Amino acid sequence: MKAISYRAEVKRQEEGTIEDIEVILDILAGNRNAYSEIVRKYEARVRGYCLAMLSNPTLAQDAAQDIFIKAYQALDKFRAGSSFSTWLYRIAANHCVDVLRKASRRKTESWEALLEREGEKVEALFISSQNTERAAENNELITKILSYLPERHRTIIVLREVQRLSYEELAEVLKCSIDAVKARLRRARRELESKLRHFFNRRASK
Amino acid sequence: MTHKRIKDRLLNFHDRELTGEERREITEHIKTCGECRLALERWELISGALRRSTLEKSSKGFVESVMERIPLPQQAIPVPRRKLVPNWLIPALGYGFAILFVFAAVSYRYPTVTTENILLADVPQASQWIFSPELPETTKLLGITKEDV
Repeated sequence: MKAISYRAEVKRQEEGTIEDIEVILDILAGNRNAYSEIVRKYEARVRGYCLAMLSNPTLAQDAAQDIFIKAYQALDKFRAGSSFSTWLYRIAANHCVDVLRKASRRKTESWEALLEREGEKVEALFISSQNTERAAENNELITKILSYLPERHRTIIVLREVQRLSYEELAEVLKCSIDAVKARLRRARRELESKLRHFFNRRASK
Repeated sequence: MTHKRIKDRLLNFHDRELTGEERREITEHIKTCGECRLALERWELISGALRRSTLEKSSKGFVESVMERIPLPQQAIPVPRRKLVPNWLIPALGYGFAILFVFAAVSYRYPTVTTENILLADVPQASQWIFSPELPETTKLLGITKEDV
């Protein structure tokens, strides 16, 4: 437990929470333009999170903007005791869930159809090492695969594996205990693994 | 730790969220257990692919788009300062003092000092003035003896 807190603390310091608070105080004092500094700092992370969650660049772009607007409007509710990034992730997580619920009526192709169509690419993505030439294609594939996970599982997988949040930060974002985070993460990973098992079994049989 | 317990903790091992002792135990176990080793490798491949993704990219014009959507703070409208002393108070106080002064001046008079007043002021109630051409029998009246008269 101590190791977790220490790591989270180090990461938090690296992210410059103290500077964030100074900027936030500046914004709350009436300097609206100082918020651009916050947007610039967290833009890539929030957009990445939205893209991984929503699997649609246009939706993700709009959602990321909405998240920053919501954060600005709620800035006076931010408490300096927690890190700004986890607070922002909480807003992002809730917003993306809302967007997903609204968009849930859209039809998507079945997992089996995806495997049939993109099977080789998916296999190459997980089995082969880094391929920078196909980064855009791989990103698209990853977001597609993630979109087949239930939103609860998708949220925690993205926060942990893509955004690399610690257990403690996950607990803060998802408002639950570290034990609950571990249990939820285990279930989410099992689900993802079971979806991809087909490729690993094929690889093992080769 | 049993095989089942280690299997349950493989993902925590992958996340480096275990104590040194637990890590050592699992490291020893996966050297000999093919099932756990494969499960760990499988997850490392999945996790590696997710972590290699370059979803986090800055977009040109994003900051500006967000800032445009944030409303400008409203121009400060000068609010008239509420005066601690209302305008009418000072003249009212002035008139009040003037009235009081006049009233005091009219009602206040210097006491008129007369011999009668002085004499009557210190005379005890029991005393009675007897107007008589003869001197009273008392030996001392108003501090004046019969002999003094």
